[in-house]
Amino acid sequence: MPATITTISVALEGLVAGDVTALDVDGTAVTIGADLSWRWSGVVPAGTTTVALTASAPTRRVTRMVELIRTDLPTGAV
Amino acid sequence: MSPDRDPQEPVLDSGATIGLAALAVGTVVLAGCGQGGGGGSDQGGTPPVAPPPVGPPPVNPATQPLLTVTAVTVSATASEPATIRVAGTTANAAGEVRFALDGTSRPADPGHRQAERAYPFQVSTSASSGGASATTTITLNPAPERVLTVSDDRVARARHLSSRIAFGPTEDELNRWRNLPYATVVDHIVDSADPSKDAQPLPAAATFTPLTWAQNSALSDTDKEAYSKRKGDLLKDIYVWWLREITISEQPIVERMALFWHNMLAVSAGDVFEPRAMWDYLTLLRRNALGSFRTMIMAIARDPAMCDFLDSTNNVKGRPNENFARELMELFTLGEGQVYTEQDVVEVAKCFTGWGEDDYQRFVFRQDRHEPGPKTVLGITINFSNSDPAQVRKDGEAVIDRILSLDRTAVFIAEQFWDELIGGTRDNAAIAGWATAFRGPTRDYDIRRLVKTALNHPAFTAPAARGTMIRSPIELHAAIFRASGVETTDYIGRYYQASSEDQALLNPPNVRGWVGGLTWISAKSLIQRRTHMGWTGWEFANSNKQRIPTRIQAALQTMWFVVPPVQTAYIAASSTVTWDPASERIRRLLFDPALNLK
Repeated sequence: MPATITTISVALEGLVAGDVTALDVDGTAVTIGADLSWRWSGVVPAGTTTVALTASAPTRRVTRMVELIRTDLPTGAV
Repeated sequence: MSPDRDPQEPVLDSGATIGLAALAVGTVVLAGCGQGGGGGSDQGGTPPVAPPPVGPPPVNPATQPLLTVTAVTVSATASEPATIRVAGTTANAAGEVRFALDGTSRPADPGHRQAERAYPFQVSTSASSGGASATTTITLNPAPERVLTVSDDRVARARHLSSRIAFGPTEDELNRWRNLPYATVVDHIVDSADPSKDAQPLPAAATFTPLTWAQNSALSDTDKEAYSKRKGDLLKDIYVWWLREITISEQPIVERMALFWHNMLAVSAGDVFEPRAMWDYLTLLRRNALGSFRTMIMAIARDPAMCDFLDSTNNVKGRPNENFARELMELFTLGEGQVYTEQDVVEVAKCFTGWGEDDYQRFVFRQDRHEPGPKTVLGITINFSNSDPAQVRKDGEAVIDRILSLDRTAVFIAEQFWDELIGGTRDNAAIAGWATAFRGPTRDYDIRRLVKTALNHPAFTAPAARGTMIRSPIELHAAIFRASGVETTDYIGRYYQASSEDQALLNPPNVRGWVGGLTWISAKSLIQRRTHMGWTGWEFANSNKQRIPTRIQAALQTMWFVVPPVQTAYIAASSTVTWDPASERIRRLLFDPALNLK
């Protein structure tokens, strides 16, 4: 049996503005570091999925979408 | 600023401006740091030379993009020990490869509201037994017309929710809400709303001190005219301020509920014509929009604008004025012909004698104008006048306590919610349940609890409930602009346009407010609505600043329409025009009758 790919995961890293008080991905809170950095990771299922990253500050809020696509290639395509 | 746009993110067509703005920001921050020469002046002698800056200049946190992605890590696991490679790089022991999005190895994050950017990675495993391969693509800012598809019921559900409890969704709201369980969205919308927050600085009316009657009388005719004009201008500022707040607020449920209470506890600025009093009235509605109805109704009885509008100031001993007493029961709490009698109206009016406004339009209780003695109200005797002269004003408060002790009050408010959120034939059993929840075991009349109960009710969530109500003129304006990602340049024009469609904010037609529903549509208002849409289309098409971002244009139908457009073939044919297909499509969407539904 060839070594098949069981999971593919991605991690996103980034920065938030200084006035951001909360960050969540699809409603689940993400920790914001003292240096305003953040990191989120998740498994990429087969097909297409999206996650919504929302940063909230007292007077503004932004939701950014990230689309994740996994396509498995036929055996022998390596 | 549009409601869902990060104001600090670069706009493609204004690069020079960005550069100047960045310089200005850097200057401001550096000047405020208190480092270098500025601090030296306190020490006497020659100020020391400022040290050269180290690293990048400080950045004002409030002007940073709210959220950026700087790196991605792709990892994989294999079914057996194998070498894992991602985009040609051998993974570490954990199967990971990290890629910086710094513009060199990979393009930088384009930023919120910019075009989508895809980062493809090939993932492969290789082992002695053979290997496998897959691709994974991470796309920032996927085009909204792909994410927010018309056929996605989660999008339709979120749009319905926003259209009824707010003013229609922004792209961000749809993106956020579609991925969450419905009940979670409702909890989030209701619980996170903070009515003490405003999206804009307050208008001048908030700090305006009106002239007293005597001061006004002493003015010359010319000065009186100028003062009157000043008050009119301040009122216009309030209209514009509220309409803009409705359009750009990050928590539109507050404004939506304030509008609901304004319609139910109606006061007309045209009658009162006092900007400070009207501002305080609006503030009362907004701050209490999701709080306790008990608090709200107590406050509205003391509100100077209401005292003026319903003649409380003229309600005095020996000459009770029944206006407020009648509307308190008929329109605010119990409903016409419910529970109370004509004699109750008279007695309630007596309880409120002496309540009014002073010369500076602040609430005042004048004991010498208060009707002493016992009053029989809704089956009980109220007689604070005799028991404690220092607390005679409590006669009025006791009336409200008595009204709130009646089960009918919560039922009446729940009926108004049904009419506002669902419409059509009322389900009395459902309303009774809402009323019980609203009233609460301690009769605290928690408005948030009532909102949540209504929004989670099957009659609200059922797909059949979507698109069955007519957008008011204000809702129509707000729905269009909230979704488009741009702001109008003419709020007062928008205000007057809505007025010509029979909804002038803070100027309801009478104490009953706007009837709403089918009455929004008449021969006159249909023509006005078409004018309104024509004007909107012109604004979108003819001003570069107001141009709807290209990436949003294709998703407008999904965001604007709760039910499919009627003239689909006509809209589709807009692509065949030669002058400007995009603007023509927007124009045809605006003219579609289905846009009037929510």
